[in-house]
Amino acid sequence: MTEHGRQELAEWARAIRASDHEAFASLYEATHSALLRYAWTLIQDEDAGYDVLQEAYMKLWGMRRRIDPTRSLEALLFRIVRNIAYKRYRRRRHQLQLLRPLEEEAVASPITEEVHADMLAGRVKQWVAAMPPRRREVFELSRTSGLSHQEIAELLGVSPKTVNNHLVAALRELRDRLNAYNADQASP
Amino acid sequence: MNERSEKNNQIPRGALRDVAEEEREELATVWNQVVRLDTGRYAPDAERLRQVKAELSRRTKRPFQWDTRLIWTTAAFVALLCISLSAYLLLTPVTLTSPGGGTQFVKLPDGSGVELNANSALSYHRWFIGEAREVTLQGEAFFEVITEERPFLVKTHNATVVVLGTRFNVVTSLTEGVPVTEVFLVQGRVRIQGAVSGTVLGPREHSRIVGEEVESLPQSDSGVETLAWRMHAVSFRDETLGHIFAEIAQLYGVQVSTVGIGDDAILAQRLTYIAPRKMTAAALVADICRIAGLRFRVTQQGYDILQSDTS
Repeated sequence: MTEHGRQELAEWARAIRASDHEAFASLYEATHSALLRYAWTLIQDEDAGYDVLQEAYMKLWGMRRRIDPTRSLEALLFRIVRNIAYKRYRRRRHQLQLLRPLEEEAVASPITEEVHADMLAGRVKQWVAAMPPRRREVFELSRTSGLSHQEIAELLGVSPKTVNNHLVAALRELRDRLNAYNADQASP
Repeated sequence: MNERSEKNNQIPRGALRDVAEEEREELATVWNQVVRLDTGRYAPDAERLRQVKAELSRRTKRPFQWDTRLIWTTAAFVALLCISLSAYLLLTPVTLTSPGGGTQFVKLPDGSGVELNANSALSYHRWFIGEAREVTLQGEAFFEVITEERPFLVKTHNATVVVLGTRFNVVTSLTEGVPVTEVFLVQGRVRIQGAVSGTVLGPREHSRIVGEEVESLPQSDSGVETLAWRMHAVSFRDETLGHIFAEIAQLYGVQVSTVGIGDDAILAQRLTYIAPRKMTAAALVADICRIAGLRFRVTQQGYDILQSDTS
């Protein structure tokens, strides 16, 4: 996670409004990994993640004159990614319904990738992937986005209280799984 | 600076407020444990990221970009320009000005004729649509209005003449700075209206609006002087003699009697005659008689047209 303060983001916002592509490049450097991670949280497709990322930055560039420097540029980027991901999801679902309704199941089902089952990181990755979508989204955003609690709530269009509930539920789930995992490891 | 990045390593403040004390510690531990692990589903691919970055750089450095907003703005601007241009062309009135020395005849879109005296201007809308046929006059003009359902309005600087189908003369002038509109009616009926008062004119009557009011009641008038300016332009195109004499009577406000002519066939003869400039009634009658092979006699009120002695 690149370090970047509010001050810096506000400066970039002003510069990008004035079509400064240097500032735009800096913004990209500072934010792309969190955004890519978020895109992957929303759509379970590695290739599509890069496409969403690129589309999001282009979208921001296209609307640069309407950027409000007093508001969080980061939150705006997350919102753009979210909108693009949802648009893709709807379009894809529509195509699938038209073409092969049966394939939908296969696409929506969690992708089981090669996981190093003996490694805790791999397990946690699996557990997070298997969470209900909203819970997973809140957890990932809290952990990696750099957005404030309030900003996450706004992004998802829910109250901060709901965000809390999802986060607590995610942590409880992980705790239970960790306990079970540890017990499993302890027994011969 | 560090506040935000550290925040990701700490559980969001207040997130566990509603959780029981002992569980709170437990969950915070889970958080710290999990946060340290990279649990992203995929690891970013450096090559792919490089491509995205290169593409973004290529597309944002383009000096000029037709983004959607710009296209719409331009389109709206062009459309607005077209609309206002055509509106300008359609809505701006046509203005006709007669040249310094002469008069000008104008045919309006509804078929009515207007004869403009020298140094006068007439304006009207190109399409002549709406509830009324409306023209604006500055100076002097003689109107021959085609009878139509819609009223015909002549607006001047201080009055409006409302007519249906008629022939009349309108003069606008300034008398010691006060706008004056003077109307002389030849045929039909018109209403002349100032801001405060108005009046109705019958044939061969004239009245003036001075400022905002009618100056006096309509007065009978031969119109000879009023209409003198028109006389040079008098013309008859393939008209019967009977019509021509009636026309002269009307134009000059004189009596032209044709009772002395026994043979109706003579009066039914057709003639084309274009007067030279500034003809008096006498000269015109004399000219017509000479061409038609007739003679005339001057009377108290006008002229008696007679058959030639030789015929």
